Amino acid sequence: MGFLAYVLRRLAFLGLVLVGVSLVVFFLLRGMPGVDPRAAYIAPGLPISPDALSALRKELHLDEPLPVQYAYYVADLLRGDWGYSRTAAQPVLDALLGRLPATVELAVVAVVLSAALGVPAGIVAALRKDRAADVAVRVLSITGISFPVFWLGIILQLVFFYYLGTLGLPSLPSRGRVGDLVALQYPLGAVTGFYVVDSLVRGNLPFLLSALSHLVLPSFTLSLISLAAVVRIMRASMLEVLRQDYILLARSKGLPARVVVLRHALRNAITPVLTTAGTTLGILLGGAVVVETVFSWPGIGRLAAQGILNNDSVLVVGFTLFVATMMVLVNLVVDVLYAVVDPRVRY
Amino acid sequence: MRIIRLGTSIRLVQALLAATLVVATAIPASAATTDTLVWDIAAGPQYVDPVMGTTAQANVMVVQNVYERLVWYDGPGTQPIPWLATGWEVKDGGRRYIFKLRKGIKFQDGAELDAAAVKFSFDRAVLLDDPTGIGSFFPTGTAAPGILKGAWEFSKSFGAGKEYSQAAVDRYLAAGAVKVVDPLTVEFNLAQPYGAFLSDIATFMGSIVSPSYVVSHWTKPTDPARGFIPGVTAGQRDDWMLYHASGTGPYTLETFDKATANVVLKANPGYWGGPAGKIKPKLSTVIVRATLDQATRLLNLKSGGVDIADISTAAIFDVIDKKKWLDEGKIEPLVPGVTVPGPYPWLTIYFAKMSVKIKNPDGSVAPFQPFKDARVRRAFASAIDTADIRRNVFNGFAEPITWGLTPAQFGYDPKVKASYAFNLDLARKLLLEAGRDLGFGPDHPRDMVIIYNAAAPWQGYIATQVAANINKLNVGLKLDVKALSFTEYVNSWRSQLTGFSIHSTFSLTADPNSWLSAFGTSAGFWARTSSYDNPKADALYTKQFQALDPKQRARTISEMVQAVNDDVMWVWIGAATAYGQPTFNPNVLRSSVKGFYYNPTYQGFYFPALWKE
Repeated sequence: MGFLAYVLRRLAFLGLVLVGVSLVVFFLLRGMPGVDPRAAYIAPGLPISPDALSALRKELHLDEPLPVQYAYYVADLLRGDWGYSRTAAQPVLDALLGRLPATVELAVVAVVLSAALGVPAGIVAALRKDRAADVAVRVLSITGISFPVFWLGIILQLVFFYYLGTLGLPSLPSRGRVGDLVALQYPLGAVTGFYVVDSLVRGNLPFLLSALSHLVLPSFTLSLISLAAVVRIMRASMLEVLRQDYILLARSKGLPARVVVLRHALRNAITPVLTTAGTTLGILLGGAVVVETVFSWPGIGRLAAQGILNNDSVLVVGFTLFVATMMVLVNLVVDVLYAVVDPRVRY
Repeated sequence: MRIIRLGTSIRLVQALLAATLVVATAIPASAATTDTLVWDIAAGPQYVDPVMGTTAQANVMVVQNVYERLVWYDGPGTQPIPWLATGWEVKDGGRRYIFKLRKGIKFQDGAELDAAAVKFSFDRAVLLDDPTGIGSFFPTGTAAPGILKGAWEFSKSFGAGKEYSQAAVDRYLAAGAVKVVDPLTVEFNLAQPYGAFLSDIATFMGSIVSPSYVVSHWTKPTDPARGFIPGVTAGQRDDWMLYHASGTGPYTLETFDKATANVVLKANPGYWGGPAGKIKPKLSTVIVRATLDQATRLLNLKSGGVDIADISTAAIFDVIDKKKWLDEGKIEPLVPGVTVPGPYPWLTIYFAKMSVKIKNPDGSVAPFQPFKDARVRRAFASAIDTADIRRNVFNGFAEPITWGLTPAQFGYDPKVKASYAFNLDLARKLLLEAGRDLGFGPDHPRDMVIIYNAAAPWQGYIATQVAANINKLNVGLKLDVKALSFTEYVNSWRSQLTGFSIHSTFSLTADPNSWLSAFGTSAGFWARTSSYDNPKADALYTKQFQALDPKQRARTISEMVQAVNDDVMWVWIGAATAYGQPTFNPNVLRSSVKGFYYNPTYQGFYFPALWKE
């Protein structure tokens, strides 16, 4: 099968997955037994007349059978009408797209960090297999992922923001994407919504530095979600490669260990890590809810958390659909790139 | 090819960390300057258009600093005084209010305040017709028809059958709800006398907006079926005004970031000074940052990075001495440099409701109706240890009430008699008696379910307490506690699928009208979802609604609440007390923040009162 056919097949499959996701999401919103779907559209505590409830029933097509309601729902989705969020005071899709750059920026930096920390750690663990360094790396990486992210985030805030600050030492910001005063004094004309990119494009150095300092704690916290996976895959892959004949040959030629490891072994061992990093990016985009909440990071995760707190199920369901769609798309892109990058892959 | 060094990436990360640490110190902390105030709020505003109804008090917090009303509150007072108006006359038995306006006040866009601006603001509120806006809050309560002449006919109280045609708009305008008498005189014509009219126009809904500003950002509707006046399209949200503002208030809305829900307010250099001419904002910048996580807010407050932080009562013992507060009633901060002003009476109450018409999921009326029997209602009310709940659930930040008004509200009468007290012996006696008539008893028990919102653990505590107390009476009622998802919970009590549920509610005004309507009239929100009907209370409600004399109105309110109390439909668990000036959460301040006073009608701080040392 040719490459193009593969991509087309995957795109068709993508459509099926999205239909499945939309079905699940639709039934979460409408089909739960004993739940009046209108409750999602009414602010709790505010009075609403029986007439208004009847009007809402008609507006949401609740007097139609469920399959017909689903058809209306899908038609609305395709038109870009994902409902209106009381929390964001915006259409759901606009609210999600408007906050996406913040989440993508955070997730990309987190993936880069987890690779920057995880790859060397995995290599060290593989080279020192079953020795102290290996055990230490494995224990640390498992410990890192075992701590709840919200707890770790708070501890990092406590140490790097609060304790360092109260000791008069340089400290890191505890919340937000950029310093409040910096944003006021050096306003950034948004181009892409990615603060690091935008401040570079605009040449706004104070904004760039502030944005970078605000990225450190949340991105590090988020990176810990994928760090253990990167370490373990890198270690396993490296061990596998180190057993290959060409490594034995390289060693027997008398090449220095550093050259054997970095030029011959690493380049072959790193492909699975790159694949994982791509998939991880998808997971992090959806999994940033807790980190974004702890660090007041204005991305889609924090918006979803606000939606949950405000019982805004239209928003929460929209978020679910959005993240599922992104996840599927990222997977598709990773698979396609894998085929491009690795010439051994045939379809 | 260049060989990658093993430690390069680690060193890169180290370098990045070092650089950002250096940067972090080079950039001033947010709250470092004395003319800038930073507030970490739990939930930021969603929009700031005063004609949009809201349950988000942070919206009102912005509105009350940027916009002003004809009448408002002086310092901690809860009786409206002339503000943009110099005074008013009441004519035609309370059907006509004539306001004289102050001269020379300017909007932030430079336009002059005049009677036309007042008319525009109120017409805009009616015509824009936000479903949770003026229809539900103005007048407060749903039992009364819309108070501005022609408004009810136009809005139909956000019900079905709305018409937004030009003819409908013209009909409303022809009714003459708000008339310009001369540039500084404006007249309101009401559909009936309304005792709480001044309190209502003192809320955020009565804010006066700059017509020229609104019109300059408005687009005429292209749909010919859609009525309008210049600046307002009938029945259509104004997307620009959701996030922008131009009022006459002491602060201007500098930025409103939708994504972060952060707002920045700047002192209005041309502010007219308020009724006594003495109000002059001392803080040049106010930054309100939505910081969802309580632990983060607390750290920021402790570090001095912010001046004010929302701290909920559940976490207040991280800030104050628990023993001193619970045992001696003294608030003693544990954190150096932090003050916790209060406690103050607030506008939030906790209560339980009982339905006298429990329904089956198919909508039919269930055969077993325990709460139809007043003895069962009284027994349940007597089985709730409200004192224990106030101490252990609300950490002592709630006070006992005998009716659903808080001491901060007009008409609160401590002499209103409670119709129950915590008394398990009485509860047992009443349930045994009632059980003989209703078909339950120790030998033939019946099952009952008490629901609560799984996301509200405080409700779970109360539900569990009620169930445990009733179950141990061995009277033939076996209560089971069920935690429901929020939507299931709302659906269950709204549709009366369950008889007993636990709630809280808050009011945006110190006037009791909305709660009197909600709890005491058959059309009121809580009464309707409990199938409660007391014709005497309905009549007294209307009487107080139309009463113009405050003393007579207060007497009628007392009479009405006593009549409702005697029916024991509601269990008043307590009225929340506040510290700081709450929006949704109460808040604590750094000691460097000065000038604070509490006003229960404010939603969050009135910033011109504050300064920093």
